[in-house]
Amino acid sequence: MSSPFDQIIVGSDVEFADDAELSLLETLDHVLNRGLVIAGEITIAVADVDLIFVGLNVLVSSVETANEVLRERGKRPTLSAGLTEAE
Amino acid sequence: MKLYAYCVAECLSYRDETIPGLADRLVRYIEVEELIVAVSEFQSDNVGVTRQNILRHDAVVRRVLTQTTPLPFRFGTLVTEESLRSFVTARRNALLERLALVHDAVEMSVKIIWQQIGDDPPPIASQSELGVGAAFLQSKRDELRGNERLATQANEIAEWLAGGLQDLIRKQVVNIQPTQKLVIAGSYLIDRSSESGFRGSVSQLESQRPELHFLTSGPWPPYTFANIDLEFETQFGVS
Repeated sequence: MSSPFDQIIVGSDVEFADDAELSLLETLDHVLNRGLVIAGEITIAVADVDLIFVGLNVLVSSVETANEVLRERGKRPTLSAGLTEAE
Repeated sequence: MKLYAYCVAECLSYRDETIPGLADRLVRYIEVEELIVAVSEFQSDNVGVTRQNILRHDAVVRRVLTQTTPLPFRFGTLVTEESLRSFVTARRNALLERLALVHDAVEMSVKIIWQQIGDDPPPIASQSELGVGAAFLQSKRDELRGNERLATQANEIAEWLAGGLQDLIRKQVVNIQPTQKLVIAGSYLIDRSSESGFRGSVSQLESQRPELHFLTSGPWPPYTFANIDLEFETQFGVS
């Protein structure tokens, strides 16, 4: 079976160079928000979750202005950076 | 010591015990009531939301998915072996029903991002012609009219998307948010064999509406279709 990491497709007129970041955000969206829940048994370190939502917002807002975001990549706190710091 | 739970499956002909899980602990398998749960030992009381942990979780579930379609646990599920066994035993039938639903299926994701389309409705009167109170009421009215218009457009897109995919999907969960740029987030449960057909259909739909941005991903383990407690809660009105 193929991996979704190789399979993310962005709309034809959007130039989104960083597929790895998109893949991670999609994985976060699936893994964090969904899945079988055992009531009361989930214990995640929530301190980093804000970063994830920031990242998702960046994803959504940046699709229309991908080139601009990519130019300013060094100026903004990215999801990737936040997660790397947490590791 | 607690266990980190990855997924539950009905049968695994080969149990790969070489997969590194969270905290570099190898994955092992617990058999309960003919169901198999992939777990690894976890010493801490908290699971950090880190890139490595998230990717490890998904990688373990995905490895099981190569053999059979499991029900993934939500990220961060820490349990004692006793409580895990109790959970599976108590919900065996519900788990089996849910496993039957996702049998030989995968999840595909389609997100649609838009620049809200359509012209703004013409104002009834210019701001300069109105008093402060009337101007406020008009702005609220315009806002409501705008939201209604967006909702109509968003629902029309959702129906169009559903119509184009309906022959391929077993089950779907679609969130519509007309006032957001991410207007539609759809999760679709499809047969494994339908993946290329699904992608082809999405591409065809995409070509019909060039003003919309599509983000398609998959195949995923059926994260959106795994939970049994949420449906119970919804059914009985508990939010």
